[in-house]
Amino acid sequence: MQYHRINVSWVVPLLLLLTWEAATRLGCLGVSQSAPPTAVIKRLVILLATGNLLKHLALSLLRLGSGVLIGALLGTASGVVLSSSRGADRLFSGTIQFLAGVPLVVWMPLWIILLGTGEGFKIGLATTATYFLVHIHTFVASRTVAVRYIELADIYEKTYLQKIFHIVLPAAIASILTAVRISIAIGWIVIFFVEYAASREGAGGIGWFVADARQVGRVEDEFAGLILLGVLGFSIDYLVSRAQRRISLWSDSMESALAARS
Amino acid sequence: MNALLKVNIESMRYPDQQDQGDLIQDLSFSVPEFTTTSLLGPSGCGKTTLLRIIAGLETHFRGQVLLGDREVLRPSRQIQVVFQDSRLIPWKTVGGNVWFAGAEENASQTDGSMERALEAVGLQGRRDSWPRTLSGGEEGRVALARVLVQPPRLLLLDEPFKDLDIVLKSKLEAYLVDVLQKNQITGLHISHRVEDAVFLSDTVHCVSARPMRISRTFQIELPRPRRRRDRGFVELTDQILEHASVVP
Repeated sequence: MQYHRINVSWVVPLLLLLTWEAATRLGCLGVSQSAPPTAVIKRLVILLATGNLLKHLALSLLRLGSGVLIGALLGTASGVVLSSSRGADRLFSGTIQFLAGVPLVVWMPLWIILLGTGEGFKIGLATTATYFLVHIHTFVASRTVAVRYIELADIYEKTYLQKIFHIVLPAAIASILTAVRISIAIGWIVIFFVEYAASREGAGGIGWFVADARQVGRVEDEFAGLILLGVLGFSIDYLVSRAQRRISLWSDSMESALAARS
Repeated sequence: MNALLKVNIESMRYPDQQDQGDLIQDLSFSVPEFTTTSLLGPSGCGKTTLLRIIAGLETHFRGQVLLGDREVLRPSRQIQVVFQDSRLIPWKTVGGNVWFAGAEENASQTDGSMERALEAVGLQGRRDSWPRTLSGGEEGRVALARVLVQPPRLLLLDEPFKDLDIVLKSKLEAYLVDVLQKNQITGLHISHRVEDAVFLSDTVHCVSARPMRISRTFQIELPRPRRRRDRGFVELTDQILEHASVVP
């Protein structure tokens, strides 16, 4: 019996595509608002082949990548410092917790005032989304996991930096990557949204591409962009989760150790 | 004999347990150099807290801890601890764990002291293994290898090898005695198990709970190596147990 070898996760998307195809072909959906998937995919191939779509995609990825990278580095740094220094914790933690509770949409006007609607604003928004998530994950992980090993490092007279690199960061890395994974998902939405809604003419990016296609009525282009977005989001998440598993080779022992001894 | 460790604690209570009275009160004792002393007391009586004070990990107390003629104010390599769990760092290999116990300046990874320590506990083949792949006995041996890289003057033993079965535990305890003697390390051991204390130590202090105080002291003059089934061993164990059972 080989039934369970078939990957059933393809069934639902295929059915959706078929329904979509049928609905457009039969005229249930207005032609001006929709296009059949076969036409969309054909268009997607052409757009990819000419490199036009790839250019926009690269631009979006660059924005997302730099935003997430800056946010992750800042969040890791402040998470580590605040978790290891009582003074810094007392001084900054309240403020950071307050700011972390501010919804992303509220940050938008602030960044627009400060940075305009150019690249800085888009990257800044992705940075904001990433920073708070990574900061909190790092902080909590180093407070809960690293503490018992910090004592060991104190006995062995390790320096502050040695403690950070040998104990705190390795203890937090799995949590940090989880936060980065969530940040990428949120950042992707944020980047798409600002490109779609708040971009000046010609600013580019996949969001702008979709918005432009919508405006001039190129329905196939619009859907091609959306499909690409989905595929990319899925692939990036897959890659990060693979990296996460690789880095935490030892984590089985840590989780079981914590479960058994706490 | 010279006392290496002098402990004198007037009082100790955790800041968040102000209403429960002192955990430790007027506790003073000393540990002569190159001998091992056990503190024997019921679970939860503050033994681990006392050990943390002596190691310099706990500072919420009134009193003084002297190592030689220096006051202990912070943790240091001079006073190392074998914790209840072996406390191996999960993201470091066996070799990495032992290496981490060495001082950077003597570069234990190049001068071979890490390898020698692993060899001494018979784990040279496990250098690159992850801690999660070790058996309980191997974990205990890595914890001892860590002591061997740069032996301390005083070794604190917090119910070591607690989770191991009795056969493995006896083996490791015998090995521990060996390590202490060969390296001239002074030991302070805490436990609630009379047998372990009689096996390891030259002096056993029985302590009461809340506040923790010494109720009686036994000198263990049995010859080494000690055997748990010898008559002298059993008699002494019974004697201590009898005392321990009348202490509240």
